[in-house]
Amino acid sequence: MGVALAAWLAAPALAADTPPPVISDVVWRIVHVIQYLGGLFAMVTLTYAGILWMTAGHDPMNKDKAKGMIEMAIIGTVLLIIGPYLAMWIFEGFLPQSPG
Amino acid sequence: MGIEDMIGNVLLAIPKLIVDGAAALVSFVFNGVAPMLENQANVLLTYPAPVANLYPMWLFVVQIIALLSVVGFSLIGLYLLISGSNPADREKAKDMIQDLIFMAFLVAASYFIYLLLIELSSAIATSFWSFAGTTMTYRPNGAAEMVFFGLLYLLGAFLMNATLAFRSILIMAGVAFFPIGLALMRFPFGKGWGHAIVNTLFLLIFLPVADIIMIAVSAQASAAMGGAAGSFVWMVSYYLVALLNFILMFSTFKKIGDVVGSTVVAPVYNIAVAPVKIIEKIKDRVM
Repeated sequence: MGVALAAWLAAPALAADTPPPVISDVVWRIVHVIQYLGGLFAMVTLTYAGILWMTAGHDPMNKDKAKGMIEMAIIGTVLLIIGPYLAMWIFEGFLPQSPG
Repeated sequence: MGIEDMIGNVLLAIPKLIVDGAAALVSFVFNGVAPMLENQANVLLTYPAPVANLYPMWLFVVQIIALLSVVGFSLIGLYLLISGSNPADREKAKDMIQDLIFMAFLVAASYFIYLLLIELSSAIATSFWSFAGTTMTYRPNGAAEMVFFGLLYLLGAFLMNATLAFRSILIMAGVAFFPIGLALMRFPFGKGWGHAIVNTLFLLIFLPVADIIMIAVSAQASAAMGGAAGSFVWMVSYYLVALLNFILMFSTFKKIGDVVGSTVVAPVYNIAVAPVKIIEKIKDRVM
């Protein structure tokens, strides 16, 4: 799996017709891997939390736990999706285009 | 006039000739070198370091930090997902997001902050300089003063210029380290490093203010004293400035060395000696 992941990350470098990759390509690929993993985990978490809520009945502890998990999963997913772009926006927006 | 008187006069004239000759030689060097060193010192103390030349280096460093923060944001998102409904983890993630956003703004603006600090230091130094009403010039009065103080003054001015030039080079290089320091300051693992880098750069930037106060005070004292004592004070001020610069730079680098020792050397040492310690523990249990 590690080898496959490394090959996938290095794919831009191995492609014959594409220009040599810059470091940002590799970093964005890593970010996409994290986003895929996060998405997968969010799906599992939301499903589990949903089942927990459905089966909680009158147990307030399980209900609260399920609520907390859903809340965290939503916040985490939102951050996972917009976080990297937020960081780029901050840096690109504030970087001076030429030395002051 | 008898022969004895003539010999006596010649013997008396010899030391004067030697002093005058030496003074002529020293003044030849002095008049050529002193104005140059004084101008150089003036420029190094009052003009801001030309950091704009190293702007591409700063940009490169900031781009790397930007990419790392992009990964950082994704990892915090993943951490939130994995942490489940644990409130302590939620608080921790919230703090991490705050730190990351604050760091991103600070790093993105670091070039302007750095320029601002340099301009501020230069403005303070220049205003102190004009307020004191002194010019960085010392011209010995008479042959004896030229012989005794001339070369010592040149050496002092040279040493002061050398420390100031070193400081200027460090400030120029510092434009690339400043964002690194600001970024590290926000995280527990790099707090020591971050503080060490930023504090050192602050000290280097504002060093000329202390230097100029020292020179201005010495100039006033020299003018008030007058004569050879006044000249001596004026000359000593350059040595004091050189010494002050050296001590401050040396102590800050020593501090960086301590930080490096505690954050890099200590863990490496612990890892290196870990097998030995494990073997010793096994031995203790077996024996």
